[in-house]
Amino acid sequence: MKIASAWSTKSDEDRAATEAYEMLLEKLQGVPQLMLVHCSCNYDNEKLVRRLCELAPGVPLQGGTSCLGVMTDAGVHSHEGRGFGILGLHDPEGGYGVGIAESKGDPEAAVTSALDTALTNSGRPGELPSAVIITNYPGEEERVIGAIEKHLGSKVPIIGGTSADNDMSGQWEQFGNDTVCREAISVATLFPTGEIGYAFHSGYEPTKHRGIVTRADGRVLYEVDGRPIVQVYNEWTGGLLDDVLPEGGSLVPAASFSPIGRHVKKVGDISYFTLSYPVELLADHGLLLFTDISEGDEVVLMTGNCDSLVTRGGRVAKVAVKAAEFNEEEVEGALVLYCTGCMLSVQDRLPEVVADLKTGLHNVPFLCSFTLGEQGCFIGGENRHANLMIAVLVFGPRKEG
Amino acid sequence: MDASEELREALLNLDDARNREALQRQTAEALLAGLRVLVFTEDPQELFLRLFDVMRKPLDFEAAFVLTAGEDGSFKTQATSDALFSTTVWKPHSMFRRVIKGQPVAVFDTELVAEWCSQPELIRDSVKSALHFSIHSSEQKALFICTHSNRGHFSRDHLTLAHRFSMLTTQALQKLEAERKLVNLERRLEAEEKLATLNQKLIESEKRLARAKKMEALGTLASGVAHDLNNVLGGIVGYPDLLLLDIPEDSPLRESILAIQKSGQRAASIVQDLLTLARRGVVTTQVMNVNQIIDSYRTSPECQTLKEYHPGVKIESNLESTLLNISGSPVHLSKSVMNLVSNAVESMPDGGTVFISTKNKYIDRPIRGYDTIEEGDYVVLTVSDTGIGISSSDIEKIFEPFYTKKVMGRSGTGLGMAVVWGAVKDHNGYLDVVSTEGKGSTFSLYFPVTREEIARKEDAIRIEEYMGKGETILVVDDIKEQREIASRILKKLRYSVATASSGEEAVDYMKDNSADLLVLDMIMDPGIDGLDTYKGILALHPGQKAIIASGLSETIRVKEAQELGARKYVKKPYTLKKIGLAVKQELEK
Repeated sequence: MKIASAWSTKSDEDRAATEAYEMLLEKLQGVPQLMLVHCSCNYDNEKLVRRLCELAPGVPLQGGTSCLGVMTDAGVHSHEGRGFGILGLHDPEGGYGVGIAESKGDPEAAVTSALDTALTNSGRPGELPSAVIITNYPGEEERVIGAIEKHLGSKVPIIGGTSADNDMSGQWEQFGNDTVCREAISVATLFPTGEIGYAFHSGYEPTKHRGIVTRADGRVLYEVDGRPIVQVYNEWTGGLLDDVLPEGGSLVPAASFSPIGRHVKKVGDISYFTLSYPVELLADHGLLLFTDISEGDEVVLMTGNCDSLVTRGGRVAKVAVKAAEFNEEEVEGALVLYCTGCMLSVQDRLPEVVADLKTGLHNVPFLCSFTLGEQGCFIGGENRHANLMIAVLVFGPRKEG
Repeated sequence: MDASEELREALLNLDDARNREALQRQTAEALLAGLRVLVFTEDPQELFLRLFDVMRKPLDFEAAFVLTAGEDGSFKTQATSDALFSTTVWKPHSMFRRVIKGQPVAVFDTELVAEWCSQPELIRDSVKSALHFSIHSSEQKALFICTHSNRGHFSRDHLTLAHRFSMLTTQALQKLEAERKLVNLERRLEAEEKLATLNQKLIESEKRLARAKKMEALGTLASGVAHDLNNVLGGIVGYPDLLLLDIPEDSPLRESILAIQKSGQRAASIVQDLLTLARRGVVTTQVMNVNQIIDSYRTSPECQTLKEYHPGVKIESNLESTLLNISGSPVHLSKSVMNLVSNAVESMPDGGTVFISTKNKYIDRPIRGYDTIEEGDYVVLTVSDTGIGISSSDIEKIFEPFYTKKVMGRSGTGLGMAVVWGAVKDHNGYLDVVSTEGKGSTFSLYFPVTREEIARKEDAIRIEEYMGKGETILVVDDIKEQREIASRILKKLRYSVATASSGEEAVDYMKDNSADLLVLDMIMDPGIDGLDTYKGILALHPGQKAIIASGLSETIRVKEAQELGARKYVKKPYTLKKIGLAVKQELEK
């Protein structure tokens, strides 16, 4: 297997696609068997994807929009909020397929359909893939993961992200082969000849503040321990909501260092958590999260800081490499999904993030997309959707013997 | 980074490592259990079944089976934990081909996979997910498959474990192959061993055949000499009888005539040795007991004389009291015993013990010794000594005529052991010799037993009882002396005798004449023999009575003549009593 990253920040879609693809071909020295494509929403992505499909006919293409651009092993690719990157996998003996289906109000049916298409296109119908990469539209990520697990069983790692735009105005898009959609699920099924590794980490730590959700509706949290969340969260954060009270308003990126955590599982004596980003205080004083929340959930105020957000990308990458069956130095490439909220909080220090990722990944090619939610697989094998997370998928050779 | 956050992540990683280690330990334990199965399972058919048991828990399958590729490319079940899969045949498609190449595959839905879709409905209903991995074998492509009735049951972890266990299953398959090879090798070795045994038998048979041919050739030579000598001896043995009838009891000539007769009889005895050697001299019809032969010999003058000559030698015997009878010639058997004992005694110049024993023995499978002794009931006569023994180079030749280590002329004729060999063969028996130089020799003679009883001894017959009454007899013999002695004896017995010197002459004679009885020599050369002569005469005189006379044993042609009517057989040399009784009995028939 050979992996390469390529990018462009040219504004013209044809020129950007051509530039990036030529770069990819030069690095790969062969036609890719899979292209993972992430770009900012200010491209005409239909045009860009169509051009890529012309350049690489029949090559499965999967991806979606990324906030303000992308990062690769070559750096941050964002010029005036525009950037585009490709991660190409050259693995002729492997099996790769992509499917995409519009949700149309039934994300489970959509993802199942996309998954079956991807498996068929991989040439492996009925077979369990090594991993599934997904790109979601915001709002239904948990249902999507549930449907995939129902279809394949619960032990296939799912790695992906929720496609993002640049200003939370709903311009996000998902790509699957030659199709670009606004509200669809794009799926890639991976049957590489080599091994994979993955990690899904928050990089935040729990505080002493915790309680039980007593009223919630979908992604809106209203009460904890019978008290209005606006009071509880403001107390826990030392007045973070003061600036948006009483009318309410956006909490991005102000809440980036104070997400709501939910206990996933204990590993030994240590709990690990999924994070929910409080993106907005609604007018009814409900706290809008970027994940589902249910009554009875235990919630914990998590805390982080700018430094930890900068360095944790590299640490998660390291964990993913360590988790793989191959030796650390054998890693060949990686896909990274990095929370948009975190990115915005450390935007001026992104080169440091790139450097840490490169260190953690032993300087191999990678593509990093900035997403509105991250989907990944925890240490214990649980596939989850969460916010303020980093998901890393690494590729390497097959371990013999 | 915050130190507590780092610590927290480190703890998580540590815990993850602990979990991995625990998993590895479980896997290692299962692998160890599998290795034990590999090492300690002797029955190859049980090997996979026990491995399935070891792997069932970690791989969490309901059923498992091993497929091996046949020459047509299809896969068939080699071993299975579930009879459902025992007779399955699988045509490989892309999934199997990838597995064979070394990529393990977990199928979450068998209904979508070509290999499974072609299986019978019963199997498709029972299996919804499956694990597949290849087993490396130098000789054949093989697959290991685990199944479960739940869709989506197997995960990447199962695949990783399966990869680990493939080593065990590979070893198991190779062990099976090795067992198969070993069985094939054993069969080949067995076949080669059989071939070697057959070759050895062939060599021994050839050796025995060569020995037999040699003895046959020597026998033929001896036979020719014996035949001629017998004819010469006819007069020496026969005429004294006639002369003694004609001279008074107190005649001084009587002693000389008796001496001539005795010498003639001795010479005839040597001829008999030669005939025995030629295997044409024994009429094996008399039922006897070997113990009596040995007892007679031990009290015989010959034995006494032998002991006198060799005072340092003791002769002992241990004879089975219930020894079975045999059918044969007491004279030849006596000679054999005498020769064996004589040789044994002479092999002990410094004294020792000759041990004679008899026993009944049943041989239930052929024994390869000097001869190959076939199965059957035997009387075994053994003569052993503590003498100088026989070297291995000599032992092959000791039964050949005139092969002797003794000084010729001093003792024996060089025919002693050859007579033993001939006598044994004439009795359809077998010989075995075991000898160690400096320690002695043991000769074992095997004679087939008979269940017949020993006939009561005939009373002495007086000459008056076989005197003729003037009946006409035609004596046909090509040897003049034989014709004359027969003619004179028969005339003395008051028969009217005519002679013919050949078969043709006899037939011519009978065209114009008749005879109450023919005395036909069997071997006449040149010209037609006794049988053809008898046939010619029978054509002229149906029911013609005849007796056959010959110096040799009963041959097929003698038997044929007997079947035609010439039932009595007189063995030359003629004596008054032998020919007189035979003629009388045939005429009175």
